[in-house]
Amino acid sequence: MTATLAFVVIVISAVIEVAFLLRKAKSPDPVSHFLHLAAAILLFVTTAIRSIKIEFFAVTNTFEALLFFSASILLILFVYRMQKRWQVVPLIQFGTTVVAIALLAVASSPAVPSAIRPPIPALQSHWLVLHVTFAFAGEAFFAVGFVSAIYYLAARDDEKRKSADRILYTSIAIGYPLFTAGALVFGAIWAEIAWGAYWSWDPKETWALITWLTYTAFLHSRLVKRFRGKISAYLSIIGFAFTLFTFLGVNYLLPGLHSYV
Amino acid sequence: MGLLLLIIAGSILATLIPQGKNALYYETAYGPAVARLIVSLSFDTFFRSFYFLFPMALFLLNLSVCTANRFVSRIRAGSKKRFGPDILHIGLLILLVGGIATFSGRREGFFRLAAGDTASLPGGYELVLLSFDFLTYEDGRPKAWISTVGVSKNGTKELGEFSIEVNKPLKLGNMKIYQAYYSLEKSVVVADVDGALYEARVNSAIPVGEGAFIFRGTEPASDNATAAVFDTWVGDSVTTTVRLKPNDKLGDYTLAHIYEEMTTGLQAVIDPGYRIIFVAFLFVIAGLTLTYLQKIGDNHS
Repeated sequence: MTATLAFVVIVISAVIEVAFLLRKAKSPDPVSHFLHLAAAILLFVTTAIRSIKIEFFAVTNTFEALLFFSASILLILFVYRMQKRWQVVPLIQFGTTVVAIALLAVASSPAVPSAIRPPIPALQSHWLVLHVTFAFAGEAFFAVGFVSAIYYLAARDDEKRKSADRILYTSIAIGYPLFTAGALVFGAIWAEIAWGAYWSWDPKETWALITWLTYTAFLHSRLVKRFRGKISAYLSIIGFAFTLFTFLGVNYLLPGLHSYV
Repeated sequence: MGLLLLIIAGSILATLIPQGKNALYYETAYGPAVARLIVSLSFDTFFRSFYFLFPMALFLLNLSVCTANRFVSRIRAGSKKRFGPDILHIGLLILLVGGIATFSGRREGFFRLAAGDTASLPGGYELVLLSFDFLTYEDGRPKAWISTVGVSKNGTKELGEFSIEVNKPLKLGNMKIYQAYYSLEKSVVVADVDGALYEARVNSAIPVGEGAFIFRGTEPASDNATAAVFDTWVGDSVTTTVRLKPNDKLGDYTLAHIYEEMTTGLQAVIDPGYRIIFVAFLFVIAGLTLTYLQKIGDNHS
């Protein structure tokens, strides 16, 4: 119920954002970021309710992970909007809102069971909670980076490109350490405790590494090679495509140790 | 940069080809010609092959040189800031060293125990299974597998009773014991002419004269009963296969009882690389945190 309400709130937010974009208003709309915050809170409340019911932090299946992912994106959008220094471009905000809506739409699909079920033994670990929450927090920043990259490639105005490039870089610079800690470090520690091997070259692990290497290439190209512009934008788009494939594609196409996620 | 892209491309390819299967699997899935290519190029064990290990060795070399170069130039310049990336790179180097230690020194073994069974492990440890509990939720899904074991060392020193669960391995020196799986084991009890009872599990033998009866498992029989299947071995060949119900004769023996018992599957692991990996993780996290904090500091100033 709370998740459905969150979905409605985000859709209303998206409609308001579109209305302001079409009006070509100079200042951004005054309410959408508060709707993002409200939707994020509703999604976190959903997670809390499910957690109480299963007596464990509810990030143990694809449905719950999608709610957390979407809530993280919305919270980040709110924080970006509240920043005076790095104001997010309205079109990037709208694009990222669409990503959050798409993730919730996937969560509502029949292919993603939403039944509240307590975790099987392998999932009963606090390291799992750290693994999932940090990884998705990082991926939520990657989502902002992905939309910024598309905006960068589509924009014709230098000022807009500069603004998009700044958001693209900062979002990945913040998301990268979170993703590293969550997906790789905490994931490996959990795997060692649960399966006796910190790394098994399971498809999910390998794709998480591929995603990490792609964002490493992104940061390396910027910080060492001083690449800017299109190369950064393309790497960010590829990185987010890999992020989604690691999360959803691997589950359905490449079964392995993470098949239950 | 090019090396990173090469490792990414190779890894993507490796996830598209299922790893570690036998030759027949690849032949069935891809046809004989492609299967031969996959096996001959070691794409069935890509992450242990030259095509992966060589770029990784180059990556290790490259990272070492870059890290040392960067670190020395910072020291020479007298810079007190921006050591975060150095710590991160050192962490990645330690990570690769830990990976090599695991690759070359990791040992693991699986063993199955029923209540009362013992297992001798490296380091002089002996483990006896006291009980195995399989707890389920109301909907029948597994909630916990708990193996309670007694541990002794060198046959004399009792170390106590411990429980082993998924996510709660037992640490014995440099070895860890994991709850890996469970199974329902079929067993039979036979009585000899004097009434003495002998127990046999699947694939174990009951000696008789020059040969043996090998218990192969059970099959459904008529009247909803269960039959025990035995191969009769004489010398080194099977002469007959018989299916018996309780009270049937098996040579001079009588089949007394067919039953099932729950067994636990445990995994013993010795990995000299994990401690190194853990230290590497601390460096990586510290490096990332420091980099981030320095960046925030720069932005505020």
